[in-house]
Amino acid sequence: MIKLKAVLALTLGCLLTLSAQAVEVRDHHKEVIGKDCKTCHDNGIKQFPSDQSCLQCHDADDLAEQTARSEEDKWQNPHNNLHYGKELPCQECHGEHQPKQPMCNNCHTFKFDKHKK
Amino acid sequence: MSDKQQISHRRRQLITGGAALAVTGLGASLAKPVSAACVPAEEIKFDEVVDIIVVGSGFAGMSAALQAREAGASVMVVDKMPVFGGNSTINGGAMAVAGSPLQQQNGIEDSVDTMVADMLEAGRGMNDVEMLKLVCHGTAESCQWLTDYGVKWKPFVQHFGGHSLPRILQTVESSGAGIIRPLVKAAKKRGIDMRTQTKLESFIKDDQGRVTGIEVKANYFFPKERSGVTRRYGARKGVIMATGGFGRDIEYRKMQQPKLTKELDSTNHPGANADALKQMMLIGANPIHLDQIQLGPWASPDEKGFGTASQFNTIATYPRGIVVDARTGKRFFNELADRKARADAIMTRRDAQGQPVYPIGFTNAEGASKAQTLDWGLKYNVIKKADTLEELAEIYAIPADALKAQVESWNKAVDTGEDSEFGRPMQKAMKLEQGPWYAVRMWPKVHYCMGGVKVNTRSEVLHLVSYKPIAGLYAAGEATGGIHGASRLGACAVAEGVVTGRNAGQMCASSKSIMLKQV
Repeated sequence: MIKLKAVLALTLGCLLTLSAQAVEVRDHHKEVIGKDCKTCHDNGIKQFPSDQSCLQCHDADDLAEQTARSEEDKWQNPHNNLHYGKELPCQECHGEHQPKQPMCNNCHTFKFDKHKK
Repeated sequence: MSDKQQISHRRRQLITGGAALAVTGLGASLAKPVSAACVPAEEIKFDEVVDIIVVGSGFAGMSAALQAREAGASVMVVDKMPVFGGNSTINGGAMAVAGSPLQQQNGIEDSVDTMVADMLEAGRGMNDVEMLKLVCHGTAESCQWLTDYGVKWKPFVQHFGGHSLPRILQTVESSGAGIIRPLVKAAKKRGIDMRTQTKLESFIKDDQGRVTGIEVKANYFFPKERSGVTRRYGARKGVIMATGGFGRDIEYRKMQQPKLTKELDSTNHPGANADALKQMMLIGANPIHLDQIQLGPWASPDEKGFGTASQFNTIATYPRGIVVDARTGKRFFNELADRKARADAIMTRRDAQGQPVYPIGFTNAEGASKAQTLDWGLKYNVIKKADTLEELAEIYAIPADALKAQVESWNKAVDTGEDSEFGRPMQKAMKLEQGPWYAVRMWPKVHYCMGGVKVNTRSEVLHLVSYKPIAGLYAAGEATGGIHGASRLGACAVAEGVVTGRNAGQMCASSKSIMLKQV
């Protein structure tokens, strides 16, 4: 009986540990969404969500305004940039369960100090 | 944000991957590609059917789509990347135009024949002359076509390396985005179905060997090959391939040119690989000039990709400055030669261990006055400023006396109007007399694949064995081979992409429709 309990405890512990590792979530999203995975995962839990999930709460035009830059650097605005305008998908630069780097840095050395990975 | 197809989970899953890939009897017996047998047309049911499917959303793809739409065809554009524009939206936005209004205003007498001759010389005579003529004949009219779609050009004509006279127009943005974004906007407005994250997997053909559509992964997340769901899209009139080159595909480019290792960065976007080219070859498309891969001689090792140095060097250093070996302070090539000659020359600058010794290109404030990326280059420390030649020499460890001697020698050549050392054209050459100086380290990057599939002047893809068109398959832009020969002249990719894209769109739209079934 004691052995059985020990095995169960170990198994459960591993499962919990695995779970915790698999679903890193931003603090802000934890607060707002909690544990409801389907809020974002509109294509099923094992698929990447569509950008519509992000846009449920975040407005593309508002973001472009928030990250606007001075005239000289105007087109370095990550949310309204020279090459793609406002049409760069959110998930190209922002990852929920794994950090991501700004796509612009594939070619440019721009500074994105406030980037939320 | 980008337009996305809403995935319908109620639709039944289709058979996956190569199972739908059909081949002609001839292709099957000779090439034995991994594929199923031919499927009679009446048995294929597509998830969606349009008149024309364009694969790729760069200059060629967007030009094809809009031209076809103008002719009344229903058009779908698919792109595997999360954004439209491919390499086109990140390029320098410069277009070679023979006979532009701006040339006429500036008293520049150009002609189609002159442009053909320039491109033939750069291409080392390897060009497909019929396709070359088609492109050169189309530049002036296509320039106007772009202007009508909202493209804005700088108010001066430029002279790029290898061209015998000034004929380059450039967008005010100094980027191909100045062309792509108006075209994408116009496409959406005119009802073209624009889809990102939709990756071509294979072609679908009928039992006569005609391309009737494509199998794709919709909702694909490049480069995760296991993402996405399989869909079949039918094209009544044809599929136009505008999928660009393979400059980022290290394995494939090394296969064609062993020296193009990962040591060399590329100016290309991450998706520039050989996948689509291979699919065309699998159904029998004739490849041509695949080993002719161009390096961009204006790039800097101090930044990634195209960066800020490329425009600075194109506009300032090469036409209005000089490039010197950092160890000797001496020039070592004609700074207005074509890209191949310049890149080859720069790549010779190596130490005893074969490691690059980056040459230094520089000019002064007057020479750099039109360089739009100068401020950015300085801000990010790619371009450096020096008030005196001594200071410049110190920054880059160039022997100061030798550098000053070279500048004096260059100024004498400008006075005499002749570069007896390297034969540089001197029409636009400028004396370098006072600082401040602006300089950059130079090293080429993989830029453009001259090779691709063989097309005829109707932009139809030709079969390897029969030399006849593969019915229903068209191609345009960098995905095709032959037009540029061994070396593409600067600013001719935009010209070629737009002209051949429009040609493909027009020819495909005027072809007959076939009946296709939809789910």
